[in-house]
Amino acid sequence: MPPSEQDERPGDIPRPLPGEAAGTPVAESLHFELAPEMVAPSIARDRFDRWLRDLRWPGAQREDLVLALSEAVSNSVEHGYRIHAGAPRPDLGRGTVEVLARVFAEANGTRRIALTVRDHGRWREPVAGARFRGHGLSIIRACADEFSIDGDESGTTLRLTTRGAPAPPGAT
Amino acid sequence: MKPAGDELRPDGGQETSGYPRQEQLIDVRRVDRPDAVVVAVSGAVDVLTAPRLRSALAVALENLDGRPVVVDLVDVRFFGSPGLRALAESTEQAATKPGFEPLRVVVDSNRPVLRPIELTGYDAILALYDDVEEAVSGNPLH
Repeated sequence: MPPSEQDERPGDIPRPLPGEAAGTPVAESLHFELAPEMVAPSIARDRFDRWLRDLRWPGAQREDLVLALSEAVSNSVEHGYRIHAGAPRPDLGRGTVEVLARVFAEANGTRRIALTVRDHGRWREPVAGARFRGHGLSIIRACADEFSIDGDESGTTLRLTTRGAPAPPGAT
Repeated sequence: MKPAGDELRPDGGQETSGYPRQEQLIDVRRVDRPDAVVVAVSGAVDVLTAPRLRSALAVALENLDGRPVVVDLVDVRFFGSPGLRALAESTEQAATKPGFEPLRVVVDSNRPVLRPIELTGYDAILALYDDVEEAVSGNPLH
């Protein structure tokens, strides 16, 4: 059987969040890069959802965050790299979509996630006539506490910070 | 391999090119009833799979013969903005037909679908229902 980066050792299976001291960034983070394919959003959703479940993140907020990440990765694929169903795939060089999520615990135990999605393409405003687009950003904005997009020649970086979630059950 | 009973999935068979079927993540079925055309979707509707929802609705809307079209999304576990776009474009297509009415969308309390619909205000242009029979009879509860 060929080795796979997705092989999981028993030691990587869900572990409790350590009861960190006040204000300490929680050690666990999630970081991966995906090829800019149409299937990328579903891969990102699966990985992020598993990570959030490991953290025992509250269910409704977990669903919102998975939705927001899916929209962000879709934007990178569609607008950053201009991948579209049925269209020939442009030459992307070594372009990827990079996802980074970190958890921070505040003094009172409240947890927040800082989520970053970065691509190396150039977003283009939806062209006239392409209606019903742009809802992705509305959804991301609605699911986040803070939200920003920065774009330049080297790519586009979307950052969001979640609303606070209580400490997981059992962690004091 | 093509699935058996392909005629039960008259959604145009337009899978997104370049990916095997198991990565389509979605199942779309059209049921022709005497009183309605029901398009039932299960799985995840995202940028990869939304074109199949759109093409299924396009086929359904061309074969209504005065019947309403009902979109059953109760078994959908993920619904992103490309799904909203498919519903919006289908609504626009429906608006070109005589006797236009909003798409009848069955969501019940399925949060993965309700949430993006409400976040984007799409509940204003869609008629939402709790189950297929209510949608066919046309008495929205929402």
